[in-house]
Amino acid sequence: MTTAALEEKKRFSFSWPAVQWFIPHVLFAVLLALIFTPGADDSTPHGAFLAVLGISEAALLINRKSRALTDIMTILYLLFIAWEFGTTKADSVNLLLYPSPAKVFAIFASDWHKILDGIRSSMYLLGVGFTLALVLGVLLGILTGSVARLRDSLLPLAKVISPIPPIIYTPYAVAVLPTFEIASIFVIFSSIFWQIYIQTALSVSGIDKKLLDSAKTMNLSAPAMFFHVLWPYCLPNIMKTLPISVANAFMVLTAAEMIGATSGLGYFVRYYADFADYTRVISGIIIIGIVVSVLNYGIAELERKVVRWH
Amino acid sequence: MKKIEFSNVSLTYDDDGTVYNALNQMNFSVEQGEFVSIIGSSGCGKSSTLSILAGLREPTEGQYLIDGKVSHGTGRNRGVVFQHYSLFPWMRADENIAFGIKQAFPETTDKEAADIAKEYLEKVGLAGFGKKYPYQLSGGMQQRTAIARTLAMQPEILLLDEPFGAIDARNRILLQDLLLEVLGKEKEKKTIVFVTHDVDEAILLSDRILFMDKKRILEEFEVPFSRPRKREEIFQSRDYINLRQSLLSCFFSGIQEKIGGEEVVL
Ligand SMILES: Nc1ncnc2c1ncn2[C@@H]1O[C@H](COP(=O)(O)OP(=O)(O)OP(=O)(O)O)[C@@H](O)[C@H]1O
Ligand SMILES: [Mg+2]
Repeated sequence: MTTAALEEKKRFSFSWPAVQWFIPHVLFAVLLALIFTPGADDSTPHGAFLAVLGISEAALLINRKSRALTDIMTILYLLFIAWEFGTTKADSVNLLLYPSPAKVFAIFASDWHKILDGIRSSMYLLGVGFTLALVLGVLLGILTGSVARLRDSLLPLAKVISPIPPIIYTPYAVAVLPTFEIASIFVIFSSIFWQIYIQTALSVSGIDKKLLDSAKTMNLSAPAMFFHVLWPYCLPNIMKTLPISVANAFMVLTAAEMIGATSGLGYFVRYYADFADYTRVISGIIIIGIVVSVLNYGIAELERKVVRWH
Repeated sequence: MKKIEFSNVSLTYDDDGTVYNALNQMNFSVEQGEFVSIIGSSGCGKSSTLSILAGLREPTEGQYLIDGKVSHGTGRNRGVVFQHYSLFPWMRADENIAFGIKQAFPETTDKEAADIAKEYLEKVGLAGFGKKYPYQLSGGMQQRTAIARTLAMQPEILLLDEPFGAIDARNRILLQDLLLEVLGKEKEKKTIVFVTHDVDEAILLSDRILFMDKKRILEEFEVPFSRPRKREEIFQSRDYINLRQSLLSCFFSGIQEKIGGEEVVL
């Protein structure tokens, strides 16, 4: 590269950082201006939408130095502007199919009780299915991994059964099992269990021979061997499977709720879809997105807390 | 009194049909309180011998006695330190030791175990490193911790398989001195079987050296130095030079045979 080109490049990249920090704030101002100019949807109270925007802007102001957050907010504000403009300022938009942001966020304020109930019901099913899958997956996985005969027979079987997406047999499970609760716990269980079971069995069968010898020479009791050697040995590998497993389980759960439930987030979305209340459908979708993100964040934090040894 | 006795022990490995005879009619014994080193070239069966003694493998033929009784499997009377991976990576240094103590003495409370762990960490010169995980410690520190854990479990017999094999020369010297010092402070004199490649290490540490080749013990050497030993004094003595010469010629005759038995002038 010539000196001139380098100079040019330097000048270009130099001018960029100063501006970038202002962009989201400018967009924020544009968005506010849009909201307060008269449009097609002025009957809806703006409180909830403004609160959401206020919180985002405050978060951005607190983490002023975070480039990632600046970029994220830039993108988010652009989306909001498009959404706000498209639904309230453009002519001939079907407000039934394309509700304005103010409308969607107002649902959070008016329906929070129902939403909370939905979250609680979904989390309960997820929690039970997850716990069962974790406990059984680890117990059976460690057993399978440490006994060569079980490993050679059960693992190939598991590898055939596990790729079948649980979402495929969800309708059947809902039809066959006595209650919806049992059916959804079953499908959640199946969407988490196999990953944990296979991962645990593979980890245990691949455990470092030296480590095992060392443990044996310490004359560990069976429980100590299980809880203080095999389980912590597998833990990092199990943690790695969790984000995908839990996301899958949540997907299956919401699908199941759309088929047969009378509560839960999936039910919330389907119920209002039946009444063509797409405002609530969209707010339900947003809530599901937030719940999944919080779950993933929780799992990542858990991994950081629990696996501290490398 | 004989603490350990190997009588006609043979070991054959069978890896899915590939059979390998690693030990052949091996005999040796170790007295109560004695420090015995086993040296020999790579692959001669030292680790195999130790793994039988530790109870990790059963002899294919013959048997071994501990305190005059035929022994099978692992036991609380023996503690083992390997070259690598003796510590559990998910436990901090102090937790590794405390865990060992709680396994050996289940009636110990957590508090007592933690206190004893701290005491042993101090003994091996690692006061203040208890809260570190193994990956945060150097190889030498990990081996110190492993030795501390094994001693804290108070075995009568200590089995060490090249515990300093992966340590640099300077730290190796420090660790050898430390081992002697720590062992000297133990209430009861331990019986020790120490596997090494290093002739000087064997001479410095042991009461007796067993030279191993051809899947059995070929020669024995008494080490004529009294304890406590001073490294500098030993390394300057005539006895040391002679002993070292004899040990090296054992290694050498092995090599000579392998290259066809021709005379090689040094
Ligand atoms: N699990 C095993 N399966 C088959 N053969 C083995 C096994 N372990 C060791 N051997 C073989 O037995 C012989 C003795 O091995 P051993 O580990 O006892 O030697 P060593 O004297 O400790 O060697 P080094 O000094 O390299 O540690 C070697 O030839 C080795 O290849
Ligand atoms: Mg070896």
